[in-house]
Amino acid sequence: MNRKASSILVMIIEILAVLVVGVMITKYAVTIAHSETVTKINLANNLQMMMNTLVATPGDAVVAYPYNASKFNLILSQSSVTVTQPNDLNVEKIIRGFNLPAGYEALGVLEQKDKACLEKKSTRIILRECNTGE
Amino acid sequence: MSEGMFDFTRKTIFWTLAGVVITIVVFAFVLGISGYLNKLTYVPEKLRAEFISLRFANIPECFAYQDPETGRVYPGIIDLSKFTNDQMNLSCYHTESEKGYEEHNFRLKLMKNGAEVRSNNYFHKDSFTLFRKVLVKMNNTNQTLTEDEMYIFVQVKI
Repeated sequence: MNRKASSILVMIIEILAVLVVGVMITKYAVTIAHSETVTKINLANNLQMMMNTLVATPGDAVVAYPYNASKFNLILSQSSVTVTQPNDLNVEKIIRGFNLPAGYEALGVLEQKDKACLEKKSTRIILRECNTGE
Repeated sequence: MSEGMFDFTRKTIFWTLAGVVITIVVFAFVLGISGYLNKLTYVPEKLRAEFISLRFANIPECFAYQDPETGRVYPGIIDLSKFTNDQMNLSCYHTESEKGYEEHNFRLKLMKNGAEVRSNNYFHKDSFTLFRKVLVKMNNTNQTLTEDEMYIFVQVKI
């Protein structure tokens, strides 16, 4: 192969390599931008703080999550709250823990509902869909 | 050295350097995005601790005074007879025995009274302190309330 041909070939390979790296980086950035990970993390953090606040409220209380949660599935268990989307893998679930006082119970599952409410009745905290007006 | 060998060597050095630089750029980009995501979801530890510590003076399962006859709870009034380590660890706030040091742990101290309680994985490695003005009820028969300040020493993570 003569020198001119090989240098053109090398230049083409260099341009292709830069394009491939550029496309990979852009694709990664677009995936991150379109994902709901940040929203899920913020939702889980907020629910965790809402649980601690409800626990500290003597008597009965209801608190509504102020933002739309219709894209997510929420699971409240005895020691944690889990936020997922349909078809999420295990690693994509966001889990935040909390410690309940003795005798307290926490439960509830909410699948893609607009408004999520946490209701405390005595020592029982339930995750449910908000009623009209809540 | 022939010109062909010189060219080959030059290109090898170039591509080695280019490979290293591109790798560094890609890593820096990924780290930059991860850092930005962490910034968007950051919750200050003081805020988390504040929410957890609300329960100490507000619910009867912790240290809030509850009238034994009416059952009414008085938030902000500490029942001194309940201000014990047992009440803290068995009823109010208990962390996991094995990895509980990774969670928030607390030491509560009534500054005028001197009484002190701590959670089960508290090891005196304080991250910060919260302050709360409270009233203290000394015993069940005596109706006297005394003003006090509760210092909440917070250990975030060891």
